[in-house]
Amino acid sequence: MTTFDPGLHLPRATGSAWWRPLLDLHGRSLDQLRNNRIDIRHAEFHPAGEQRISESQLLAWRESLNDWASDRSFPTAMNLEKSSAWDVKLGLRLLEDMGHLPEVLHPDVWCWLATNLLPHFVAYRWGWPKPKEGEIPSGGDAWARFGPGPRNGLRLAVQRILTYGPDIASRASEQEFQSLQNRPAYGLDKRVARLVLQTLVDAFENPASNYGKNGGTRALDANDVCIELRLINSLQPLCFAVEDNIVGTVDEIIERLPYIRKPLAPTGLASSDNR
Amino acid sequence: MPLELRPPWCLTDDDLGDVIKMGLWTSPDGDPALSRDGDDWRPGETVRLSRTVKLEVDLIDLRRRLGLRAGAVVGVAARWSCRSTTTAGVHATGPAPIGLTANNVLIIDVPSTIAGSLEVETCLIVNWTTLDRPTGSCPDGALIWSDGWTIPPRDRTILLEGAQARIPVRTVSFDQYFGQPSGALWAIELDPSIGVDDLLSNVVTVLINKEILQREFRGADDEPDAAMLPPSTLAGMSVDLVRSLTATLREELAGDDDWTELADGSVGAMLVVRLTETFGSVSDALANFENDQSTFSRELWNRFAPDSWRAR
Repeated sequence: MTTFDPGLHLPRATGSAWWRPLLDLHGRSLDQLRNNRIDIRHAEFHPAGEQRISESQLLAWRESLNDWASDRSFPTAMNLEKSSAWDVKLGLRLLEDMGHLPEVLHPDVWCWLATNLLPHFVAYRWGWPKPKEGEIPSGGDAWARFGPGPRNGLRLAVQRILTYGPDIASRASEQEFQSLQNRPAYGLDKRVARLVLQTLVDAFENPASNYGKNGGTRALDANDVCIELRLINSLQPLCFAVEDNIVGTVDEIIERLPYIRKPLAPTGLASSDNR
Repeated sequence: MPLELRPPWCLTDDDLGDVIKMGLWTSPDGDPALSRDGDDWRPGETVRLSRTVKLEVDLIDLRRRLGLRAGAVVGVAARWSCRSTTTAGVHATGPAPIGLTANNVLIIDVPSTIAGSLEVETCLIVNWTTLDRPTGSCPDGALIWSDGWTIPPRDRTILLEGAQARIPVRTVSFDQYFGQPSGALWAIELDPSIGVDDLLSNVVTVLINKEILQREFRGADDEPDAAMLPPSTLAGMSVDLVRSLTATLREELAGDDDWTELADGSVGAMLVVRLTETFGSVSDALANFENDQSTFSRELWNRFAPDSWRAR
């Protein structure tokens, strides 16, 4: 664990061209990336941030993170299950080091860290954007796993621990996370999101529950439950409901799942989520 | 959500009419929170917002005027969300809505880890005191009114951090910082190796003399307060800053006339904009600087002069 002074401010990547430095990194090996050169002079800091982290502090931190990662099979390839477990471990480690800093959730900070200091962790977990017609893709959307948005790979790992706690985060599936994260109308509220996910993972482990069983899959059922919750939330905001009511609402939807599920498409994939 | 798609129990602003009056969201200092420009907040600061909600009728009349059945209790609630940090929450005593009385105050305490901006929404929620709801009535916890139905998000958003480049301003004791007492109010500090593509916020600092601030610019709490500085001082700082940057970067500026590659927030981007709007072009500005310093200064003062020179 690295101990940073709690008043420390972190570098930020701002503007619409934050993804440009990544064009030069695309395709490099993880070993090359783990020591990627950084230039803190071209990073922005909050103007009121008198105490700024130094380049040497950042490099020492990265070295410590690299050692930590090497002890956890980095850079051996991962399957989906291991990827989710990696997210939990990485999220915990990043929070241990940064959880007390004022900018721990700042999107531009995560963008800078992902594009400059720790691109190897993002590329390891999410891979590089695929070339289009032989060209490295350009634009923020293609590089969203490194960007300031909620899909930033490092930020996702931290957000999962912060929102759900390590206990629930390690029991949930990738699709369950995404089903909630894609529904900001209620998924941004930590209390609500945690209660919903807790109820889902409990239901999955309960042999008597419909959830992920009796003709349903965990991924598609999570999606169906979260869509139903979105509809209910627009009329009865979950954020103002007490705990028992939220859990009861989720349980009630799970009971109705056999009637809610859509028939599987011929390919075995569900039809789109745009309901 | 279009009005016609809402359930019949939802109310319009006209329904509330003179039954419930809501004040503006305000900061603890009493200023309207929605007028923030992104200059005051800094990372790590919590945000407290409050809004008065006044019931102009008694509870029986309220139920009658809003068409609520017996057993339905209306409460007021607020929710906030911060998209940039993907966090959200509700009013301080939540999650349950606050039962309406004659005078209510909604308070939102936003944690210190937020950033960017904050969207707030005020809602009326109906809860039932009976399990036996009349047929066709709204469900327990139903949203019956929200200011989000008529006020667009941009008008319910509190800006914490502006997107514009900002120059760090620090208050320091000139005596300690420069090693000698000084009657100067400010000084511009530039990194000696500054380049046009450096970020403004990294290489430029406006230093304000703590001793002068303590002596002459005290706020309502009798503490030194840079917000008390008059507009003429801010104009002087701007002139001084542009002069100092032009003097430092004139060779670099003279060697190029294509500024399109300069990143947002860079020293060059800011300086090119200021020189062009003041002198017509960077080359004209540099010619003035080299040949006629008095005109250069006068034109800068023309550009940055405040609306009034009087102290506030």
